[in-house]
Amino acid sequence: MITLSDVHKTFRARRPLFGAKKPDVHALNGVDLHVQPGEIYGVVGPSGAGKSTLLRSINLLERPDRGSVIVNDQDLTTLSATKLRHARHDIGMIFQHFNLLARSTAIENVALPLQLQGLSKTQRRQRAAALLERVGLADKLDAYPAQLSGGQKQRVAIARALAVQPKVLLSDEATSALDSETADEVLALIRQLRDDFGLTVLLITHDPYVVRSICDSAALLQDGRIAQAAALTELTPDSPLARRLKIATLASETTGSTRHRFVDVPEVSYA
Amino acid sequence: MREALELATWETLYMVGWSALWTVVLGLPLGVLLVVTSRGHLATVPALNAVLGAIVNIGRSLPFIILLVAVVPLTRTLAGTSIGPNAAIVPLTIAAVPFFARIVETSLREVDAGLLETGQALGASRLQIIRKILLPEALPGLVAGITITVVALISYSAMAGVVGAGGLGDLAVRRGYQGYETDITVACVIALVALVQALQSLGDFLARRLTH
Ligand SMILES: Nc1ncnc2c1ncn2[C@@H]1O[C@H](COP(=O)(O)OP(=O)(O)O)[C@@H](O)[C@H]1O
Ligand SMILES: [Mg+2]
Repeated sequence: MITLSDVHKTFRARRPLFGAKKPDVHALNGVDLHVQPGEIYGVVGPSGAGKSTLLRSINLLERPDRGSVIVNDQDLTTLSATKLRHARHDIGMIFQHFNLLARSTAIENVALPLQLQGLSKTQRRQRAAALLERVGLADKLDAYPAQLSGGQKQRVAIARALAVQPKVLLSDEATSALDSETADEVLALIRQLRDDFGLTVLLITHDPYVVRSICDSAALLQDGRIAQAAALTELTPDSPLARRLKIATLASETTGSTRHRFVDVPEVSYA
Repeated sequence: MREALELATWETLYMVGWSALWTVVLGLPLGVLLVVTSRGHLATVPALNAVLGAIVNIGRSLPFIILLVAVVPLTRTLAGTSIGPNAAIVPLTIAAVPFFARIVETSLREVDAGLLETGQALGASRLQIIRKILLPEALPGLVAGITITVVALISYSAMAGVVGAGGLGDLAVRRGYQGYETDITVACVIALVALVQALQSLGDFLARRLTH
């Protein structure tokens, strides 16, 4: 569903008015990544490893200097501006700080992508209301973001990201600003939506717990390269990725019947 | 005196109203361009940005009284006359557009870059991002900016008597000050203060209503 091949991205430092020029930052140094359809894939790595840059190059918010980004059998780096905009309709994205329009209500936020696609007002309201209901916010349609909790805001953002029925959902630390209970609920929602819509989810996080909770596969990003990638069921406990995910430690903490103990997220039902 | 005051008030409102309208019509796009052509924004064009910035700075640094006289030929072309309230609208607009454009620029810069990026991720065109995200999110600031501009226009318009535009300022100077009719000066000043107060309150009210 998503295939990155040899993706490079360098941020060139600008010459400052005073003092020495800072060095360029090689954020991505030849990233290869393959995400299967319907999978929840997590990329972990230390801060500054290039995780956000990696995620942003998938919908070309950040255009790679080199390499190809194939989403849905289409190399996005070769597309014209108009074609790229269309391709982006198939790629939803959610963010750590939600990025909701502060002056629009929940339903207006969710209706925005529908409006961009030229749907009529009644169609937009209907679809947006249904989506908000789907994420458990049927009673918050006309609430402004300031009147919502962090978890509720992220649900609105998820509904907005899914409004035009994308095939792929990208998540940049979507639960990092939430308390752990709310984070669990949002993660459960993401998994539920993946199951229901056959979404492919690529999330990046600094938090090993998120990956252990909902990911099928994971990769460790280090110094702008994928150091290791594996399905979680096939992960060897003493590998770098397993250490990063703290899977070995967890296993030794548990009674030992299961080698990989994944923390289960409680199922949350949404009427 | 009452009639003179009434007429002058209407003249002021006429000059300020029309020049405010033209200021928004011209200054808003200019402000948007100042922002979106800047480095790292929606449509980076550093050269255009530098030129626009320079034009705005020149406009802002000209003393209004000089502008008033300097643009007389232009006024004659655009307004068909170089005296009267219609003639004042041209220099008032020219003075206010760069002023307002800078305010627009400041308001738009307050909009979180994350929102613009979200627009891009949603597949919005640049024009859609400007119309559906940038401007709506900045609306309270823009309304406050229009209020500031209108108040500034009222004070500029007092100088427009130089081109025979009339208005409260002109009445206060010509009949009140130069004609030694102090009561007229006082009445004009009171009318101006009331006008500014009323407009500022209206602007504040609107800006508050728009903030969530
Ligand atoms: N727009 C940018 N301009 C310059 N440097 C950037 C930019 N975005 C990211 N970087 C740099 O690239 C590196 C990787 O950043 P990022 O992808 O945000 O890492 P992570 O999300 O893993 O913390 C960091 O050193 C960061 O400072
Ligand atoms: Mg990051």
